Amino acid sequence: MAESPAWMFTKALNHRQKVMRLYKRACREVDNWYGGNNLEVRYQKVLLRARFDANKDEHDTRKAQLLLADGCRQVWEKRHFKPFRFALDPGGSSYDRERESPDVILDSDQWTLAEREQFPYYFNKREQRKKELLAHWSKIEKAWDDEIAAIQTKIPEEKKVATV
Amino acid sequence: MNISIYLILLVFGFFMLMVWSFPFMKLSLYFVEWDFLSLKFNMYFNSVLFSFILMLVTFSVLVFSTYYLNSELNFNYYYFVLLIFVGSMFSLNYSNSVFTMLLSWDLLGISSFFLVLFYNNWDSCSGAMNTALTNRLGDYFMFVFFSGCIFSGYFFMSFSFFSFFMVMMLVLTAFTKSAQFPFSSWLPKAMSAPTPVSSLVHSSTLVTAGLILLMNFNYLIMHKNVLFMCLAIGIFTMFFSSITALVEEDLKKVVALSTLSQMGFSMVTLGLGLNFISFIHLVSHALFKSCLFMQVGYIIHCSFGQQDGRNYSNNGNLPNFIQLQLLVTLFCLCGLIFSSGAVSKDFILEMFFMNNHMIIFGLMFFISVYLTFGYSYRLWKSFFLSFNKVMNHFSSSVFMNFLSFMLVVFSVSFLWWLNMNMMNIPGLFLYLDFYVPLFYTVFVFFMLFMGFKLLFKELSYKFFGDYLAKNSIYKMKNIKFMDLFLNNMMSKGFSFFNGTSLVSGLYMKSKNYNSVLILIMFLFLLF
Repeated sequence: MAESPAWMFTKALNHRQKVMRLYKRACREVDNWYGGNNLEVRYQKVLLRARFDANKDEHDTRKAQLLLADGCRQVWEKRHFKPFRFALDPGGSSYDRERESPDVILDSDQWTLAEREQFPYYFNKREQRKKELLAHWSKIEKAWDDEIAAIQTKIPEEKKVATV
Repeated sequence: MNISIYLILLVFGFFMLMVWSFPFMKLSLYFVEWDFLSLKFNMYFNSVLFSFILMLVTFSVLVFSTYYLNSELNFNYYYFVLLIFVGSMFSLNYSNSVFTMLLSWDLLGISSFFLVLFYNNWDSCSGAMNTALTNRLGDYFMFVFFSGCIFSGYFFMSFSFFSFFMVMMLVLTAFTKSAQFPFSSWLPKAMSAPTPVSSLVHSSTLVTAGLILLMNFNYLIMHKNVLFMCLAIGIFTMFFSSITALVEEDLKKVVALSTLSQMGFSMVTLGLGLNFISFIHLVSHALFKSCLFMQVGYIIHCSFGQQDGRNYSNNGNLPNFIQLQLLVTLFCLCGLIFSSGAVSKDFILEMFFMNNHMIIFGLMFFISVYLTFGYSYRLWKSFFLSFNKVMNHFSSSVFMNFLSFMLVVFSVSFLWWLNMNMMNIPGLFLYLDFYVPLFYTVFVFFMLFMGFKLLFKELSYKFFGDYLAKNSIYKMKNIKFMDLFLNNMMSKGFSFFNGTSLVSGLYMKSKNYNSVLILIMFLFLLF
């Protein structure tokens, strides 16, 4: 099983960002429940915004965190049994229908030369690009090495406070 | 010679078959008969009528699929498997022996598996596995039934108990294929097939195969316990699928659940013992359900493959004439007057309420019929009452208008005509005494001539013969050019349905139309 790339997409969020994400998620749930009926959708979203705005100016951070957690709980409890997905997204009805073939099948020798000669421009350009890619490969590898080296691996040392 | 002459003669041949079968009420063809391995075919009025409808639906679906699967690379695969499926449905229809029936039944299950498996994504694979395994279970029941038939020549003490179980197996196999109560999970999941597949397979052929089986074995089923089981399961299927259709968001699944509800309805009429009426209901249902699938599929395709009804952006802009036709199709489905749904549904309702049942059956049945209106209205509402508007449409088709118009006209009028005229058909025999044998000989010779010509000239001597199958698909999948031609004509000013769009579009987009519709449906429900 491959390693999960979740570390690539994780970052620390501040409170504002978390509230924004909760709001967007709650709006999506309203869309799920009230779907095609735009009047109801608009009304419910206005109510939702009012509820968020009521606690907008909260200065107590602990209370703000509690409200956020409570909001997450409410979104979880009111989730729709079959959420709306766009057709081409994972979980949608038209997901993963077209599969592209790998490019390497064009090089297969089962395909006769006569058929390949019908498209001279394409295949000549393809050969040229293959040569360029091989020449360029060493540069690509070096670029990858630089990128990995640029990621921080050591914790910066604490500044030594003069203890006098 | 032109193929259209062949097709016209084929259509005419169907009606002639129905007439010729008059002396013994059937026409049999025995190809091979070797005890078990016997290919026998039987043509009588029911099966000829059904195969006529099947042929109509098949041609419509083939044309529709050239629109829907236009840029698919796997079109050849789809076409071949569909033809295998249609062939097995025809042979199930006409079959007269155990072997033929088993062969076509299994072939139906397998080819529907391959049809659902058209797209290679997870939805299709899981739906196809569901379909195949449930059908396999039905095949098991059928094998047990036919094995039990071996004992029908013997008599032992518990024979009636044994034969009751045999008949139960037969009824169970019809339940799995027609997706009745315990086995109905495969039908909504098989909606991950492309829509042309759904409109042929899941509207009129695969799900009716179980009911046709029961109708053919009618004299075996005519026992009050067995019929009671059919009735109870049918009512239960109708009830829960109607309720589910009210809550389901994916509109193609709503149409699948409405198919399920109508199949439960047919099972209820079989449970009442009325097998001809049930057959007539199947026939009319085949027409308008496949038409409904095609119209819904047209809208789905124009929304880039989106089946969820919550984000549709049509509001009558896109499918102007389709909207009206969809409405008429839904009217047929509900059984409103002057359409073919009315013929069967009215009679069934009348017959159902003439008996004494437990109150819960009557209540469930009534609620289910009422909910037919409910989900039809829901279907119509979620397509055409959304506020989002778009300017550009994805691959819209003018040709679809004509196609669904033809089917709608046919579905509305066919059974009504049949109902009015069925008692007059014997009157035809008075005039045909003289002409029939003459026509028969001419017709048979003509068909034989065409057949020989096809077989011995086209398929073997011409270079073309090796590629006949492939070439016919190539000619078939470019029917889209007709559509481009029509678009060209429309851009030059020869528009076809222009009149409907301006005035009635204004009326339909207003919100008053909605309440008029509710009123119409409610009135029809009451009366």
